[in-house]
Amino acid sequence: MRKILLGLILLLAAAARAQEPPGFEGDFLVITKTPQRFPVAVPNFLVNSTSADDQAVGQRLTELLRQNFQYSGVLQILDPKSYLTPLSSGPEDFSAWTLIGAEALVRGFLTRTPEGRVQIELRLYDLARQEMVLGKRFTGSEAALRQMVHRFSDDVLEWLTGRRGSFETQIALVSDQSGRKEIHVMDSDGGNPRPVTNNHTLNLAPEWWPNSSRLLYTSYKAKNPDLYVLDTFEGKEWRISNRPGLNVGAAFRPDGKRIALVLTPREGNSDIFLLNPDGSGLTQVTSSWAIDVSPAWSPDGKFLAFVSDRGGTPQIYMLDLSRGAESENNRPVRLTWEGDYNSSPAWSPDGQRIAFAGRRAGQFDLMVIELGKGPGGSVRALTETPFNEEDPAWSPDGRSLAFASDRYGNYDIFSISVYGGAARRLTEWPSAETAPAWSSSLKR
Amino acid sequence: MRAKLSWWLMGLAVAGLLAGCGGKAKKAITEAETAVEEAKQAEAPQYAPDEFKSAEDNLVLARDQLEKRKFKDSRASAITARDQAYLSRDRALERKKTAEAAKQETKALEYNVPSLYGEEELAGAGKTATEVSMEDQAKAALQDVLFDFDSATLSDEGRSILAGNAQWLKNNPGLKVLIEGHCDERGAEEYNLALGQRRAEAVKKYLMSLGLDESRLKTISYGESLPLDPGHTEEAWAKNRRVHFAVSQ
Amino acid sequence: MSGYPLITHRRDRDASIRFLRMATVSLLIHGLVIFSATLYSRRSSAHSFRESSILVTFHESPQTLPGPPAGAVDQVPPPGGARVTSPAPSQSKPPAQSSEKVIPKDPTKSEIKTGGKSGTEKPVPLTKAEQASMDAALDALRRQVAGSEQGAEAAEWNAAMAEIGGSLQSRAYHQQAGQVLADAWTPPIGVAGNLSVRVLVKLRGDGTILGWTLIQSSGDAALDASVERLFQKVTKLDPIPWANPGETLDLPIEFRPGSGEN
Repeated sequence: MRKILLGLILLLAAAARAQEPPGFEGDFLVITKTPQRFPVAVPNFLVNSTSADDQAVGQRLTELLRQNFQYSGVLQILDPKSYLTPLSSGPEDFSAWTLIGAEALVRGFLTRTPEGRVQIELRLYDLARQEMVLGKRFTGSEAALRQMVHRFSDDVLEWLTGRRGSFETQIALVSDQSGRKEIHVMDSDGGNPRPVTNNHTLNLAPEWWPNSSRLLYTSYKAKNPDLYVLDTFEGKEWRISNRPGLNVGAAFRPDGKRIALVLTPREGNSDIFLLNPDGSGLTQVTSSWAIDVSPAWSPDGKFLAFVSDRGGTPQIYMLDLSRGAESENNRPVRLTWEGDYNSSPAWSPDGQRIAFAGRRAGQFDLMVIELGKGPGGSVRALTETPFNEEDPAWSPDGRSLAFASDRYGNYDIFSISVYGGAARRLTEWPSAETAPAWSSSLKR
Repeated sequence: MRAKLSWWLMGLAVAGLLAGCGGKAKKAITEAETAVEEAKQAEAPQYAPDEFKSAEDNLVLARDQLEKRKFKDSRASAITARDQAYLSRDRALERKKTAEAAKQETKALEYNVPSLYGEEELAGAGKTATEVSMEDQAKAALQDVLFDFDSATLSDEGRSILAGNAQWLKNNPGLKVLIEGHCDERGAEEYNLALGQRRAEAVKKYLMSLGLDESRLKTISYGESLPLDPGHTEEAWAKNRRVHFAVSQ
Repeated sequence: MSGYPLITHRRDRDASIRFLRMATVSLLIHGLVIFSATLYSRRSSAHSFRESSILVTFHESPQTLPGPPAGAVDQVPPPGGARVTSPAPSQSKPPAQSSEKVIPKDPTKSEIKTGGKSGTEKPVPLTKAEQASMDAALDALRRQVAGSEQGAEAAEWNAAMAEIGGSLQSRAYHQQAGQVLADAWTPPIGVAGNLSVRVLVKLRGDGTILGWTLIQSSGDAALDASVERLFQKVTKLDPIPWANPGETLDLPIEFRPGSGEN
């Protein structure tokens, strides 16, 4: 009797041992936690000058640094009102910062050199290790201060995640503030905007040459939409395609060796072609009677996403270029199946997803196709406002998207982190700004 | 006796040479005089005084140098005079033409134009009055063809408009027409450029089927960038989904 | 199969062998018990279930047990033992044979709460009341066993009880330790969702973390660095209840960033 009972208990004990207690797998205690923004404290820059102007500059740089971090989606700026320590340039009192929940601290110092140049020193402290892990000193003109802060922001992201940020970059866009659409260029935070064309005709669809300060764009200045290359550094420009009809929608293959663009050689039917940057080597890619536009390369250059209305409405398709042009044996694969208008595909730099503008309930939203989740991938919306969000463009680190939205009236350029958070407004003019294109990192 | 002859011959040769040099210069001077005469007839002193004066001065100088037996210089001056004279003649002709045109334009504007023609704008520089009035006529005669959203198909109304347009173009055979495709602001820029191109081509094809020569028809697409109505309503959009006609000589 | 933490326990090997012999003898009966219990089960179990049903068996009370925690899917179902335990009943009626059991029912025992929210949240530790009632039940058993005829069997009882009690204690401790570490860890955003870092932590009996080693890198430097930063912040856990203060123990831990959207 007892034996049976004992056996019972023992078996159950064995069972208790055999099965996984909560949190255990094999021998391991498993700890799972949702990733979080890394909490950073960014107190005001210390300005080694009594001039009110310099103080203002220091304040602006502090704001810029905080906003860069906050909009990255990866860092969390702790509320400056909670900062307890009076700021000094002496040794840091780490406990005061740890107390408010910071895991890192960034200190900035601004001085003027005797020659009148500016110098900023930026330090990143890892509060767990209680030491400085990143320190930089930048010297230059006042005009370069913002780029110094951008460079440091990229450095901090690299320290935290292993990959540089995209703050030290430029964004090209189309603006009609002069009355006609011209191409403009600005910093990644909207600073220092300037026009790069001024021909009073129509200028559209800027696209950056990889790792370069050159832009491709389409202009009507020769009374036809022709394709030009503009070197924004040297101001030089030359035309690479002026075929009759359209020469638009140019997109560089990421290795910089081929350009995809839209031509209309056959009775106005638009198809996608490939071209060398010197204008030679024209080959045809799509050959349907539908409208085929908006080519977008995969990062490895093997696939081309594009928009076609061959199915009746504008949808996004993908073609395997390693198998040659469109043919009986190489048909484009349709990627979007919902909605009656899906357009402007943009392939992420890591190749994992395609952003696009999808019209839902009459308004365009930014959407993302997660590739590698079966045929057609899985689609989710990145923005869902009652306004239009269009023209997505990836940052080179793949963490942000620039886009055009009319949420404040006329179209403006915004950027948003793919990890969520508020959108950052980059242009505030009363005119319409569209078609953003994000350059490669400026750091060489 | 022989020596004397050779001396005479040499003397003759030299004289001949001298006379020859002088001959070239004289020839040049004659040409310059002809040119100056032509310039005068073209009213160069009036319309191109600077160039004409330069020609005359050079001519006087050439004659002078000829007197002084500076044949080379004389020839050079004469050539300059001739060139200047022709230059002044050409300039004068050009300027006369422009002046006449200006006179004509003023006349056209003063004319009591019927309401069918626009009278508010001057044509761009370099256009003659006939060209201006032709553009205005065309604007009135050639109507826009409208399209449905995301469509490049001609409606019945579109076809009848095109029939009328085709007829007018046939009646004005010297004109070329630029067929512009446009879209409303909705949708993607690139897609709208392609759609506009499609619309323009559809119209071109239809006009050709009505007997118009292809060489007169050129297409261009502006996509959504040049709306007729900048509004954001259905009415505005309907007006913007169009093919527009612009003529030129 | 070592489905058990590597916190070492002293074990009587001979007793083990004898236990197993007895186990095989009563296997059939037990199997029947479990089978009939299966028929009453409504949901598949989490392990935290099993814990309760053991006690239920001890207490001979047909308690209605709440369902498994919502996040149970995060945790791997038990290998091997699944056959025995997985279809654990949410309301297990004791089988007919339960009349053979002589374990007294503990009227004061309350329902054991199982599990908590999603796997990313903390596992619910046993409350003091639950702990106390468990101890009471075990004590009752021991008293019973002490009065038994065969001392050897008594010894076996004791060992069995100790093991079960120990396992429960250890479980609670692990949950608490896991919670402390989870609170202090900041996994960075942007890391791929299916990565994990495996470390081996050397603990002293008083809870001090003597050191740690990376057993298996996640392949992502930022993720590894976040774990490194964690152990710079956290240098001490609670004292280990069953160990001597001077003893050294090994604790293997796997850190996983729960997949956000990415």
